[in-house]
Amino acid sequence: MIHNATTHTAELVSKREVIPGTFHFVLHAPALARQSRPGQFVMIQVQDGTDPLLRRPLSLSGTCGDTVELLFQVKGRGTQLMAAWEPGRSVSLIGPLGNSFIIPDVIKTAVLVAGGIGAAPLLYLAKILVESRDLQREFFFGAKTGKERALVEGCIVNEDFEYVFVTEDGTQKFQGFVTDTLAGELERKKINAKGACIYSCGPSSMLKKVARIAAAYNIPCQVSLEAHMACGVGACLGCVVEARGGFKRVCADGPVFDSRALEWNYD
Amino acid sequence: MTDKALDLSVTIAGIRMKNPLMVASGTFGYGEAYASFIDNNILGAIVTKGISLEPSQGNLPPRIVETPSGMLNAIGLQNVGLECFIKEKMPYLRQFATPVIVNFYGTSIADYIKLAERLTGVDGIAGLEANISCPNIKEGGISFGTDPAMASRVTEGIRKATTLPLIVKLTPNVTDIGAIAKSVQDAGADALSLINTFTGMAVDVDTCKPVLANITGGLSGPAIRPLALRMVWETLKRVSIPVIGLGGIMNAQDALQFLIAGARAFEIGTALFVNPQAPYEILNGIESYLQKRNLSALSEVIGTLQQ
Repeated sequence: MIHNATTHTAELVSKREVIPGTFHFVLHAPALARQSRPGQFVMIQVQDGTDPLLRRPLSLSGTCGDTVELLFQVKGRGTQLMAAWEPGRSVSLIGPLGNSFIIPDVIKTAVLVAGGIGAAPLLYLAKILVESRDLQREFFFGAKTGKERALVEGCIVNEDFEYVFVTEDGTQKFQGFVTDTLAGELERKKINAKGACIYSCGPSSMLKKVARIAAAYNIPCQVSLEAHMACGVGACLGCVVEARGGFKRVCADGPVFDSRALEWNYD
Repeated sequence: MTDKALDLSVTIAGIRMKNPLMVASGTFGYGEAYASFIDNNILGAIVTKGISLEPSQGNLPPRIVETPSGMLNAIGLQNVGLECFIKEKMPYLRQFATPVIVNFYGTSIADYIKLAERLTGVDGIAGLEANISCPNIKEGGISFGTDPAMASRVTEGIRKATTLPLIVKLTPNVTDIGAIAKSVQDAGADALSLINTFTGMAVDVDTCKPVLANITGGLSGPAIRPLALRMVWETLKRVSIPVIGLGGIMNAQDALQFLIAGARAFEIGTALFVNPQAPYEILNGIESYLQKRNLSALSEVIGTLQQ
């Protein structure tokens, strides 16, 4: 069996528009909450009928008791329709799908690098790291504007993480892309191959730079990829990414990949 | 429930299936992808992902895009190749009490023959489905599936190479599907499955580029269902061999339309992506339909179209 996903009927418990166009959903789905691990995703049915036809893949941003959490940005018609959902709604989910982030026993430092809505799976990982392990934790968050801080702040507390917030609009201490800051901070904090691991999710152009920095510092790096999907379970081969040794399915071989296993010949 | 057991069984080209629900090639992997949702034993038959002589990488991504009530795909027939399929995929497929039908394709008639020969005699294969409808497969500039003479030649070659039941899968991208169907029948096919996807296209208006790396892709899903149904009906007027209907079947009502029009079985594909429970729901729906009409066997429904 390549996954243990099943179909779940969940209830939307709460909905919050964190910043304009980005929503946080809490869904009651006990079995799914129990089985899920950070990095995994669900295929969510937008509505009954045939249009939109396909389910939408969304990363879990956390679990809490009997609930699972989603943090998503309205990008197309599917997410637009989801934004109009009201609490109490019954929702069909398939999950948990895909692999998950690996936390090696030997690591002493976890460096999380998130870009915009790519923070979603890393917030889930952050929570597990805080709960389960005593280690040095770094959270780099890159966003377009300062107000996107609301996506992560509140979830990431300063006692648990060394937090670096980088914005393109320059309203924060660090200006530019998160990847402009990453190498310098790794240098300054003397984070290197010894017992460190980088975890990253965000736009592919960002991931490519993170992978390059990780390679330069010889730090293992796990990236979570995003792709349009039809089945989400490894059947249709629609969501492949170029990897060393051939195409890999983002849904079933990923979404988390060792950055060294991928061909980074796209933007 | 019922007092008497309903008989949903059908026989296609000598392949006895407990019900008419088959999973379409390319939508079910090698039988493993839906293992956590579906007991493969409940299926009428499993049609595997199309295999070729050598492993194939398929097309560059992006490979899929959603369209109104449908989706375009340009996977490019990525597959593990003949020998790997036999060695690594067949042992898993063999364990179910469900006939395994192996979909295959070549880029020349010689390829088709080699594949058919090698697959014949492999334990656990109940039949073959020859894909002559892929736009990538060309000989002399013409796809096999769009030219009656070429379709006939490739079918004839495969026919001579195998004793297994032979299903030939037809493309809808033709002017007269009945003519192709007839020539495939006359060349020795035991059954037909139709339709494969319609060639379509989508453009990203922001970048002014095709959405798919392959530019065009195959349209599937409920958007094509009425076209598929019409083609099945049209084909049945021209051939006497069994026809398996497919194209956008999402539920029992959709499946029944094909059965009433004369299809002896049907395949589902895109429906699985949307609803992995679809096989159960469709089979239950067909049973309810029979019960409501006081029928005891599916055979009493097939081909009952009133005209």
